[in-house]
Amino acid sequence: MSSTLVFAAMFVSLLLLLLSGMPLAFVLISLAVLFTILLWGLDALVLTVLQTYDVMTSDVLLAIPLYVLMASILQRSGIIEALYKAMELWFRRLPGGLAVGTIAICTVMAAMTGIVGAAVAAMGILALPSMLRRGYDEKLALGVICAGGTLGILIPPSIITIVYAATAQISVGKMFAAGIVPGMVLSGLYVSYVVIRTMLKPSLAPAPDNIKISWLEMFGSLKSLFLPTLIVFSVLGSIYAGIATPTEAAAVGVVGAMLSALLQGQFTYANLSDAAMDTLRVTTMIMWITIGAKIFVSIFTGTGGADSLLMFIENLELNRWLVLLAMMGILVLLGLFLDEIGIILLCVPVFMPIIGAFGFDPVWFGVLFLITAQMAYITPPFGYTLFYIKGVLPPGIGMETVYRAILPFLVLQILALILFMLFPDLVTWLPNQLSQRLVS
Amino acid sequence: MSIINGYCKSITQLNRWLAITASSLVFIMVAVISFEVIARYFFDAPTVWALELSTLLLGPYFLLAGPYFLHTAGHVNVDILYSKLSPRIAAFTDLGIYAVIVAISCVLIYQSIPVAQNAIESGETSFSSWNPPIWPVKALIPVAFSLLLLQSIAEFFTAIHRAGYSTEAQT
Repeated sequence: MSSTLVFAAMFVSLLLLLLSGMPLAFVLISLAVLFTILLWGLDALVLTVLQTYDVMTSDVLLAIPLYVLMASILQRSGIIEALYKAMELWFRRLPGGLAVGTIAICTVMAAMTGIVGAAVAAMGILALPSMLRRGYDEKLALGVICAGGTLGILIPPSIITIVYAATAQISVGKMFAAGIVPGMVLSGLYVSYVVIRTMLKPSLAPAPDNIKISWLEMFGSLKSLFLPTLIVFSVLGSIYAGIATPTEAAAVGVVGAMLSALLQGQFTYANLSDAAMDTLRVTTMIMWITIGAKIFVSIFTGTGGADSLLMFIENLELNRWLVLLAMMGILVLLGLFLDEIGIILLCVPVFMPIIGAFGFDPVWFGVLFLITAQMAYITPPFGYTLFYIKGVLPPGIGMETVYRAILPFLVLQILALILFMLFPDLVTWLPNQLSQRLVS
Repeated sequence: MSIINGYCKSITQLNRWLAITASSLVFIMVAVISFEVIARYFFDAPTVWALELSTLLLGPYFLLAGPYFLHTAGHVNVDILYSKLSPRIAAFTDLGIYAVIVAISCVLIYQSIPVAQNAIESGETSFSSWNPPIWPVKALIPVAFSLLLLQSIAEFFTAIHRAGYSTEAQT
């Protein structure tokens, strides 16, 4: 069978089997088993065991349970509630203040945790009712929560970034550093949008309430900033001061999260075992998909599929930017059907040789991919963020409102994507500065 | 029927217990890695075993929990069509899905037993500077896939029951 035909058969059967509702991990494993037998016979199946063992002993992927545990403990530690209270006190007098504050908290949470669900779930519970009660426009309120929540994909630490770095075989620390400036730019874009919108149309965000709050209380609330700051600096600081690898920094972060929970009086057995079970569920899901995807991709590369695809594209003699746009287009399209982790594991090994051949920087490409992943997270039908927000919508607001709410933010994300495509230095400058300092 | 019911319950119970046990392994990883960071940075005494030990725990951690999350539907799937199916059609779809998982579990068990056997017989170690035995990790692969087989058979039976039940309900 020619490799192009194998390629087509594999992807078509992947999409068809996925629609049956079978879990992605098992779809990938069963198709991999089937195609291995068809192409190479039963004896080649030992490949499945070797790939499984490979995933089981990956020291880069070891970071995943640690970062998820850190997020799960922080989620139950009460410090997000405390942060939100402080933000309300300080931002309530500004026009659109709570919406701006929500983005600010999402940014801080993105820098503390590596998973998207934590920020969206917390803001959906805390910020949404608070903004609606004060008469904020529901679309503005929903939009900032959805868009702000996805900042965690780009701002380090981030689970998706770890999976990308592991698959593309580049340094996790470098990839983390590459997300910082783009993450801040996006966060800044969201804030500017909210401020400009509410200045042009003050009815979107109501006049602040005039309850007098003493300065003592105002400054007292600031102590809630202390623990998050400490955690962000201990994790990112230990990576970029050359003290720890990203995996080790995650363990440091877990200890920091436990201390925060302790100080908040939330360090209970129930919280800890809930956090442990959550962590196990997320990690297990990711790792089983990784096993399936690695076997699946190794068949594709084993039949010479990646090489012939590269040759095919080089023979077309296309402009390199057209090739880049085509790859981004495929990623966006797959984002409609597949889980982001699955997309990385399936596409990156195939795309990496092409990226290399056309002289693109894999770190820069990774950031562009992470921005498209953010778009996929807030767009129907498979936006993860939408599932979280669905659970906390008050009666009277339907998903159509949410879909309309995310539109302006989607435009901002596209703007950011174009900006970073045109000015790669915005992405690559910081990782190049920091990469000499990393522990390898 | 009660034998099958008992089988499903006890397999799920076993896998739940294994998942709960596995979930605590992450705390050992945290402790071991934190120890390494402190030993290296503050006492300039890096260990040869900390990172390797935590990495060896990663496999058991997620592999043993896989079967239980099959039961709780914790593995991510695409439900755009599935969620629109009637309970009866959904039950029949599940029959197909679990039959496939039963089949691949058998393939994976069959393939991993020789690998595990080899590792056990030679007492395989990692050949790193710490050089711990790694045969237990390899031996775990067929065990985990056997647990997956047992759980997917249990889920298959539950799907049969649901398919039968919804047929009766319609007549």
